[in-house]
Amino acid sequence: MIPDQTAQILYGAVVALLYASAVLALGVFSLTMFISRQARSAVSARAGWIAFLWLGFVLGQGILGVVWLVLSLAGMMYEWLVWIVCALGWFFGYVMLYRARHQAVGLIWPRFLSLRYRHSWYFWIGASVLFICLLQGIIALLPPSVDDALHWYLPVAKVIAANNKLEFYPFIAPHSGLYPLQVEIHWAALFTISNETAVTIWDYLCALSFLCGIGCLSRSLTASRRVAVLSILMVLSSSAFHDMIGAGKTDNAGAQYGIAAFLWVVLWPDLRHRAAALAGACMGWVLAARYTNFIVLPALLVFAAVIVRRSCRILPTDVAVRQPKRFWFTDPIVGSIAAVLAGSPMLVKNWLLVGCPLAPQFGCQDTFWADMFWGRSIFWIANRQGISMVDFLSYPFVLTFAHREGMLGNISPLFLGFLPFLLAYRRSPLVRPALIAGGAGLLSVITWWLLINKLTLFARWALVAFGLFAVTLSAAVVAAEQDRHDASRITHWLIRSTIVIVLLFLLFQSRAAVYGVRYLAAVDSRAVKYEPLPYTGYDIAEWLNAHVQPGQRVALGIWGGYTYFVKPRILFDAGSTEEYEWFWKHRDRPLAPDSWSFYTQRGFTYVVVAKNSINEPISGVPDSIRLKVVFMGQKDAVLKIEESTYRAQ
Amino acid sequence: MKANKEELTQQKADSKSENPRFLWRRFWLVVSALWLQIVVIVFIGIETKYQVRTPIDQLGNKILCLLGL
Repeated sequence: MIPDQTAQILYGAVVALLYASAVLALGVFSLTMFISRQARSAVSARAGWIAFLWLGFVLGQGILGVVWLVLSLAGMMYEWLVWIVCALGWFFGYVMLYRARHQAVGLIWPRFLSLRYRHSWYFWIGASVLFICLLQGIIALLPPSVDDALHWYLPVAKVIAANNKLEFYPFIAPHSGLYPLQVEIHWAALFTISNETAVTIWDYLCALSFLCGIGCLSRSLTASRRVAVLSILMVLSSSAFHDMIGAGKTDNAGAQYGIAAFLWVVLWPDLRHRAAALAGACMGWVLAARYTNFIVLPALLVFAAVIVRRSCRILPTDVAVRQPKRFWFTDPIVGSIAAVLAGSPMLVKNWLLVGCPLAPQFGCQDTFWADMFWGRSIFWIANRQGISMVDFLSYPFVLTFAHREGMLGNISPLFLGFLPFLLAYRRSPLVRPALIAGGAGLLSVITWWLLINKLTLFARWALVAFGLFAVTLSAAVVAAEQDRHDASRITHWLIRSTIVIVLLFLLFQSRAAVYGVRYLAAVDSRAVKYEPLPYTGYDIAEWLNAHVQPGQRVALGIWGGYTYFVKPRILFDAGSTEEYEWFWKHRDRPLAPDSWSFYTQRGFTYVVVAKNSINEPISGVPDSIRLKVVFMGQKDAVLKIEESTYRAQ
Repeated sequence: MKANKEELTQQKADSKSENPRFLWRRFWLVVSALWLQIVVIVFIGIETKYQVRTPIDQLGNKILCLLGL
């Protein structure tokens, strides 16, 4: 007999895989419709057929994100509707596979067989990376435990799924729904048809997709599989990336769009306005995934300008093949329109929900929930704090070695370690085409440093930039590895031994796979994950889920625990916007004498308060009610408000 | 013919060892590779210091110590 927990986890994992296959099929189908057969061949020739599939996967996510947003705003995020969209994807996938079955077998099978004869050093790096990715997949089965995920990103997706509708929900951190939801809206779709494991495994698949994108970009710029493998290792060994795999944070999934935008720009000279439109759409979606990704925009524009210049240089005389100059002016306009179309649904959503498209950053500042949003102070425009050049130059070391609160991971030591090789091989034919990516990454980081100065240490916010750096740096190291003239045998062995050490370390970092297996086998429960954490409110949430009857209201507005753990039906009764405003104003004195009339008039049965607030005698309780402490948690207590039968007698 | 070839190889090796630019480049690459290794080992040292919490972590840490990492 399979334990219920195991069955639920397996079901979630299978649904995530099925969902991913539907997204891939819909995306590849859309791509096939959008670009011609010739253009498809150009993409495959330039970046490989995997790049074509990957771009399809990212496009599928972008398009479906908009579909889910429209459905959820219309209150139609029904389970059957999500399944129908998935079924449509499988149908398209089946038709495409059936049509291309001979071609696919001819393409994949010989490559698979040729693996038997590949025993190069880079092949083994690639195999080790695959194995580590597999272990990360087992870790992704575990329940998410990152603070931000439990506080903002996951509750909003869960509540949308439970209500089939995206509204302004005051009972989760109210501004969560106003964030750009391009990533979370997929989680809402997965919560609608499945459970939490489906979300974490989908997040894992998006992280793998990001790695795949880095590899495709590397290959398209350098035409080297070795650079692709090494750049993937560089990103994978960054804890800001691998610690967030399946953690319920939006950064890894959002970064896919950024890398896809750069890859489309690389393909721009071949595909003209179609590539420009798709690059623009990906830029719009990267902003719709996280507003702070605007740091990618200047880098993308400069990257595009260099690609155009390079394209003109390659074909100086061949007038027949050369692009007419007007294309270089009209295509950016097409790209900009696509970016606006892809990014604006999130602003329209905010306008529909609260009337302020740029909330919570700008607009609606007279509301109580605007005070809860802390994000404004991170921008230079709000804090006007400069960062010195010395600080900036020390950031590579701080980003690699420091452990500061909220950082949630560092960048790989390989970034700092590979840097001297770039100085030595900057003129190498392998590195020169990749320098453009490193330059774009640097520009992106400088934008980040200048404009989001307060959180420069959050490496996860600049994954696209670090992915771009990885392309250039890994090209330099591959050039050093291939150099039999200048680089001595000692250099080669030192580089190789360091890469082995990094792989062993990654293996060590993947030890949580043991806990993943234990959780899958139902040896550990969710409580094992959450109870040792400093404070989650898991105990209170579990008690409420078990004891609160339908129709009973719980005053949760003062509670500091994660609403993600509480059943949506309890949350929906936990308070209106007006009531939450009252809670916000009374957050320091929830048991003040004047509060009882509020609780009784509004029909609250339970009040959750901090334990220390009931140490002193509670005053002002009317005779008509009786207070009872029904549960004492780790840090909070649940009070029950009952009608006093004693007085009545 | 064979002697000629050996002489050429020898000449090439001599010219390499006497070329200061080549020597400097070779030295730079060895220093770069050493830098890479130092950065990675210091990073792993700092990371593992923060992570020893559970018995599995301790076991993993012991394995790393045995490997000299």
